[in-house]
Amino acid sequence: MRALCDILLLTAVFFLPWWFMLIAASMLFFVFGRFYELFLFAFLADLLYAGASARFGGFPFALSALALLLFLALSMVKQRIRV
Amino acid sequence: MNYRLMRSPKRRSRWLDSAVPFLFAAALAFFLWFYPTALANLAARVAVPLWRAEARAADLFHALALSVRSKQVLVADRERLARELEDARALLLDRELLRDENRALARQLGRPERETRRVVGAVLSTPPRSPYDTAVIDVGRNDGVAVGDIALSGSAVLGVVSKVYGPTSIVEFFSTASRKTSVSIAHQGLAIPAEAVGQGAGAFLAVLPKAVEMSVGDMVTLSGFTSGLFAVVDSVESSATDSFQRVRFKNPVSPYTLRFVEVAHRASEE
Repeated sequence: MRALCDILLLTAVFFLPWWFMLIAASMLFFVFGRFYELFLFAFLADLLYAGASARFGGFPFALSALALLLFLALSMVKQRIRV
Repeated sequence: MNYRLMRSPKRRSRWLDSAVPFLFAAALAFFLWFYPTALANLAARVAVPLWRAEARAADLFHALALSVRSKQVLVADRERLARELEDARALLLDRELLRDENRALARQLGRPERETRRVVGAVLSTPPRSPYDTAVIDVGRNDGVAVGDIALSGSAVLGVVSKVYGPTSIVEFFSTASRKTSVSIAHQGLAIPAEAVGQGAGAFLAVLPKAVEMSVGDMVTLSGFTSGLFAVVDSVESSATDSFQRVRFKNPVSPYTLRFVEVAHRASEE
């Protein structure tokens, strides 16, 4: 089941808007334990799409950083609600 | 029975949970400093066949959809397109004349004539997929593309190549939110300098003194001796009490619907 979800998320990185992957991964975070795939897919999206943009101060791993913050926040929420 | 909490599996699991994000951050920093393009190159190589397959599937689907459309709709489409083509031909009649005039003026002003080297690339991925408002195109270092090259669609200037890998490049649009570009707005023979601030999706905003005359439909070009069209003025807004006016302009080509772009070597465009 987890492998299937990973494949679907990987497909989303290549073919769907970036926010779709982030929302889907956040939801799956509560379904599976230690959902580290959140980092990996955000990192892959950064590798594929990041330019030397002025948008995030030239930082090419903005989505990975967002995934990191999301992971910490979701971990805290998950602990509180004891999923 | 007593046991030591320090070595409980639950505590070890919590340690692992908090350590992994930091290990990930450390790995990010490592790659950012030591191998800035190695992994991205690899990712591009993996992605290109997938995106090409997607484009082929979309073409096939489009062809299938066309084949089931009624003949009447196709005939109407054909007639409409023929009319549009005639109109476009009429509009382009003076193009060569204007180009010769432009060359003559540039020569008089001491600008040497340069051959423009252009490469055509297919757009593999467009903005909604990218959080950076970038497009991935299928020409890269192998095709002679370099960082700083200009991406165009016809004569419309769209953006600049910001990263180059072996088989692909990343084009950053001028309309990326908050990106600033120096432009000239042509109004009744005058070139008004302005700073265009990107608003996303091919839209720009410039704030100019109210005294500067401007009208909808004015052409906007990049500052300097560039031949491409940057945008067209879409609206001019101001209030009675304001001493400035907000000029909104739009790129003639939407970055979201692009299929092909031309990449012009920057040195030959300047």
